[in-house]
Amino acid sequence: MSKHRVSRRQFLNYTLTGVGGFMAAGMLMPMLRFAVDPVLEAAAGENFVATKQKVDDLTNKPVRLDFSYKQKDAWYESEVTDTAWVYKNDEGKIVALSPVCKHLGCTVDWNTDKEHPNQFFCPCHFGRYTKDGMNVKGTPPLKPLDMYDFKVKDGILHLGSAVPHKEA
Amino acid sequence: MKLLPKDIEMFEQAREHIDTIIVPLAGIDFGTNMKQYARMNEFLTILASEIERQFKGRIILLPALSYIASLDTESRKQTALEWKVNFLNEGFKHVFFVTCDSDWKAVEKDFDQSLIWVPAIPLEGLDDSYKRQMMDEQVRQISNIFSQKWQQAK
Ligand code: FES
Repeated sequence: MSKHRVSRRQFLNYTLTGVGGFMAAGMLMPMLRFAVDPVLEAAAGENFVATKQKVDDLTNKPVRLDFSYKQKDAWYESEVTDTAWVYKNDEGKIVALSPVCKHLGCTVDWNTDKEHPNQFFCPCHFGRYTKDGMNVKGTPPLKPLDMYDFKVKDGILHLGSAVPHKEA
Repeated sequence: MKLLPKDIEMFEQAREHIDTIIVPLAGIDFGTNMKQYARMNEFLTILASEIERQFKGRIILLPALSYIASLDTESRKQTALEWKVNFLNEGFKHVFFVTCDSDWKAVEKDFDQSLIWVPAIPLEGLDDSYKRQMMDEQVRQISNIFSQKWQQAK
């Protein structure tokens, strides 16, 4: 008999370490991904996208701005178009609101409900928001509209990512 | 919403708010009208996803009901109507069919206003912002149809 015979104990040791290793890896990998992902996302959030809007042309009437950027997932690189409602408030400050209804995610429109003029209106379940984006009590949404981070470069409005309403 | 697992989670939590089904109707042809049907499909796909984006919280956009364009219209009509009955039985209140294929216009009356026909505008070679503007206009018109129905049902 050869001296290199693997004893029962050694055999079990090797195989179990192997299997255990795989199992540990299987558990740790997704955890690692969860840990790292938010960091990656935060970095992506720093991107500002140029719109076609000259800041000087903004008035106190909300205008709809579409802006596009590239987004990549596992299968496609696609061009995503987002929309913002933008205006200057009474103090002359720029306000950029996300049009995504905080109820179930439909797109809100400005001033389309005849009974409630000068509000944002969601056609899906008749949710309403005042001009500053605050949800009207008694309508389905329970939170105000998100706001876009923005900056102004060369007189042009650049929009960042949507964040929860600052006054909420 | 679409038939995607993450959307379905939302559906399960808010089922009473999601009462409308959208079914695109898409013809397939490998004969002389191949390109024409391809164009309809392109247009319809974009249109449907824009509608979905706008009304995410109240509608479910289904995969298209596809059919061979050269076969007779009767059987596809029956299928569509069967789908509709089935969804109504599931508790949905509105079912809309959206198509660019003008064949459907001949059977429109059987659908009791739930068939929406939109002419496919050729998108090839059009400037992006113009395309978007055009699509927005179409979506707006369809929105009006939805809003009307929803207001009536209120
Ligand atoms: S999604 Fe806007 S009110 Fe329901």
